[in-house]
Amino acid sequence: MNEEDTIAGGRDGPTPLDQEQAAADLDQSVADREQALADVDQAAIERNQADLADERESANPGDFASSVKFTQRQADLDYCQARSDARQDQIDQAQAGGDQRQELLDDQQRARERPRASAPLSARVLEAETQVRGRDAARRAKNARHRAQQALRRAEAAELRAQALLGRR
Amino acid sequence: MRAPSAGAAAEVAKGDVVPAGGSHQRSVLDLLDEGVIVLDTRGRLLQANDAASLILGFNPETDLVAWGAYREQAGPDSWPAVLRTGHAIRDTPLEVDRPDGTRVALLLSCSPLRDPEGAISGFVQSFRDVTGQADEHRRLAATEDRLREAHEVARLSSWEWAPDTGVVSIFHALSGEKSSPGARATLDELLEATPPEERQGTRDDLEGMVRGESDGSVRRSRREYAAGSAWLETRTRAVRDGDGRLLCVRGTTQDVTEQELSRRETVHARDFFQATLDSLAAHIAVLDDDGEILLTNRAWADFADANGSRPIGLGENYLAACDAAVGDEPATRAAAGLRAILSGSEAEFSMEYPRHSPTVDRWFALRVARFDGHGDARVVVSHEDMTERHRAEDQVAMQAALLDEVDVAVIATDGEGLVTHWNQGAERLHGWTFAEVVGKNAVELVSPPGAGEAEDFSGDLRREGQRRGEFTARRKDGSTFPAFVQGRLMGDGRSRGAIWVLVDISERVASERALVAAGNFMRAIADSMGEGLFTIDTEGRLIYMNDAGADLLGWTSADLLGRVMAPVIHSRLPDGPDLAFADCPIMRARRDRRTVRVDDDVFTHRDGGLIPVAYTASPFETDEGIEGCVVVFKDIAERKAQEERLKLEAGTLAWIGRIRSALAEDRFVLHAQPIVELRTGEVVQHELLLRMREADGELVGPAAFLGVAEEYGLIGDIDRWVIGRGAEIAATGLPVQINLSAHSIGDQSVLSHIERSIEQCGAEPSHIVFEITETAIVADAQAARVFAERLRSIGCRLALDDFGTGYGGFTYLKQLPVDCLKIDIEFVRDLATNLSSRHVVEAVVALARGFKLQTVAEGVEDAGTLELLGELGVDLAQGYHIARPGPLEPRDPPTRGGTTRE
Repeated sequence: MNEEDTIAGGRDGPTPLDQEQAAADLDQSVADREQALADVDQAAIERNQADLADERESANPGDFASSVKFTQRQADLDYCQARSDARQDQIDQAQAGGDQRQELLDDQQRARERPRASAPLSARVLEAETQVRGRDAARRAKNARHRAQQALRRAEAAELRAQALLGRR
Repeated sequence: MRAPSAGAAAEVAKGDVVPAGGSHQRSVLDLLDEGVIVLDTRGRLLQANDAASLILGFNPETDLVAWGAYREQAGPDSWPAVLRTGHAIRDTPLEVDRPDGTRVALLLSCSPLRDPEGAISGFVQSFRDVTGQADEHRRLAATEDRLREAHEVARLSSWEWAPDTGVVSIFHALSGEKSSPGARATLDELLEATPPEERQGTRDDLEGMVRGESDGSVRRSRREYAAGSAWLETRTRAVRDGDGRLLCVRGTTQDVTEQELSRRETVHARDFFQATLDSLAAHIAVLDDDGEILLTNRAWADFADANGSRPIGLGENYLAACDAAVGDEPATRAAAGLRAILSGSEAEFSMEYPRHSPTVDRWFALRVARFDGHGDARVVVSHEDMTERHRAEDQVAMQAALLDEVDVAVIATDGEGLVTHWNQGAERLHGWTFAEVVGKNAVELVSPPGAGEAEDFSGDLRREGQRRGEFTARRKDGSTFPAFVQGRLMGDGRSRGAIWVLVDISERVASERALVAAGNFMRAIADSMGEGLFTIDTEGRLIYMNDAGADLLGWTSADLLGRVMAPVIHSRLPDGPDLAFADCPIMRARRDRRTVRVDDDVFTHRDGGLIPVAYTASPFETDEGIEGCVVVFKDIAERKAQEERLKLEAGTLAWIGRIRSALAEDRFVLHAQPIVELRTGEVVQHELLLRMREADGELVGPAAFLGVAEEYGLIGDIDRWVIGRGAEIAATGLPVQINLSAHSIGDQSVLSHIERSIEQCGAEPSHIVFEITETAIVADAQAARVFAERLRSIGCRLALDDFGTGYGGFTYLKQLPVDCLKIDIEFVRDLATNLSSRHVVEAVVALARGFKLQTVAEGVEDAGTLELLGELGVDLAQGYHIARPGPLEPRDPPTRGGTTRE
């Protein structure tokens, strides 16, 4: 087999590993899109919360009707935030699963590439691809840590909202 | 013949040198009445005549001691002065003491003796005894002084005007006057000292006296001096001879400032006294010892008898007037009292008497008092209208009688807190009689032993002047009762007493307790209810809400108490009536005073959610006049949900019938939407889309009935119909894509039906692509794999519909013989604007290539998206931008732009 064959896959086209990677890439792209949509929703929730806080501050404290509307809007925002948090938790879990899957694929890919490492050109290409995979893995790890921190923040915020609701009662 | 004077002897001695000594000279000297002493230049005695011895009381020639004393008394004013000046001195007054102790007044003269050369050789002293004249002078001077002093004391100036000469002789002038005693002035000069406004009057007076028209005048005027002003009174008197001829006019001007001021003070005091009397409402008259009226006030002057008789006034005798009122008992008593005062047997007398008119009863009080001060004694008589006081007293008596009739204790205490008044109400409430409590400490009587309430009340009363409140009172038998007391301090200074009004409030306390108990009982009932209950006032403000109501609405009572409930109970639905809160059913119930029942309304939960409720609103009004509305409500969400379910079920059942009918009557139709190849732009396939034609010909989309069909097992029949019809269409040579439900994936009979239909129609299997959703495959991967493999064996193709919307994990593609991935519209619609969607499409394309699959983009709605899909490598595309689904005749291939009603 020549280097092109070994690099570009078998003569029969994409290998199962390639197909698996393609599926994983599609999963990741869908997950990224889900995350982007979730981020837009979260930004909207935070914007609405800030607007509500501003309106509350400038409202007449003795106006009961306004107080009722603010309470109801806050309840609605709390509900939206809870849904957003749950959705984000799902996205995070899916991402964690996808990261694990990618790790597995990376391992399989490395195992597949090891025999080809002796060829100079293949070695350079493989080295580059390894570095890319390494950077991707580091990025995934960093993102996982960020997701964990955000999950903790969301949990704390949810706890505060629950306490506030109890306090209002 | 008169003896020659010493002055003559001195005149002789002056011009001629007369040697000392000589009997002739001595004999001459002894003839003189004046004492003569001749001295040498050293003042030594040379000679003294008999008169000198007589006058001095000693013989200067022999009594050297007396002579020495005389020389000392004569002093340097005698011969030493002459020696010094060289001139004689004349009639120098001198007083010397005689040896016998008497004093003699002398007029001393001293002349120098000169020798022929003119040098002084000696002196001659001569002196006269003027002791008698001095005494006379002193008497005159004293008299003058006394006269002057009298003038000064009397502030008097005196003058005399002689009309024939026109000269005015000033005898005495007041200090500050321009004239001085002894001065003479003309009449004009005298008048010049008179104030200008009086000059003419004074001149007229004098001229009148001259003409005999008057013999005197008196004028008083005010003059201004540098030191101030003074009042002067000028009196003139004409002095006439026996024939009445005017000899002179004597006048005196006296400073009467003090008198004038005193007079003015007297007048002012009198006016003030009169004004004071006039200010009094009582009718006051001042009488003398005989009963004659000297002074009255305005009220007396305006006083009229009830019968309209004339009031007696100044100068009339009040006592006589009383005596004259025969038959008038009050007048008779008044006269007797006045006589007692006038006689001095009584100092004061008073009585009250009626003077009723035909229309009104009036009462008066007569007071007579005597006062003795400077001057004559006086009697003051005053009549005061006591009608109002009598009425007030009658009213107080009536109120006291009323208080005695009701159970209200009225207790009065003195400054020490000892009882001074204890009415019948107090006797009934506490049990003690007035005799038992008078003089005792009120606090100790009415408060239980050891209780501090009454002491607190007393303390507050002393500090604030009044106090009211509730406390526990005590009866004589030791029992207690709740009382309301109000106390107020009366009087002032150290004699402040207090008056207390006390009411037994046992019934009120019992009522309040019963009310509280009833309230607690009602509250317990309300809180045990499952329904919500709240009460609002006339403004819609919350008065009370039970626990169930708080739970249902999400608000606590504390949140809503006192708040207008409109935001909670007056929820407006977008399609509901636009009513003001005052017109909502609950408020109308209170306003119209009738119970209202509403079976379907909406309240708003605290979180903003709408709560479907049914309620009853009933108006109420308490004994205290509190109005409002009681609302009992319950959440009917479950009921409404059940109603919706029933409605849905009914609808569903209806749909089942309609689907069955459509199947039986072959009223399903297939519309086709073209699918183009992006590389060539040619239509390469058509997706067949199911519609149901209603009996009335209306087309209904699959979303309305497919769910019911799947739930109630009709979907298989529908799939079979679609398969059969699709095969027919494919048999015409038109490649088609047919949608199959998830149910059909696991149904082996469907596969058989596919085979049969294709065979019966003679369709090319490769022209038929069956679409199944990614979700259906994931739900039963095993069945999906079997189904796909069977289709592959038939020769048909399989497309995954709505690809990318699953829950991730596309590894099933490795085992599933899929031919096409149809990218869901979700990723295609915002492809041009959402980078994430673009990444997904790229990944789908890459995945499809990895598995050698075709990609179809669904929902292309614009040219930009179509172009971008081509750039990304998508194979096929469909959407409204390309063509809408439309009816498809079996033998007519569909064209672009075909439309149908969706």
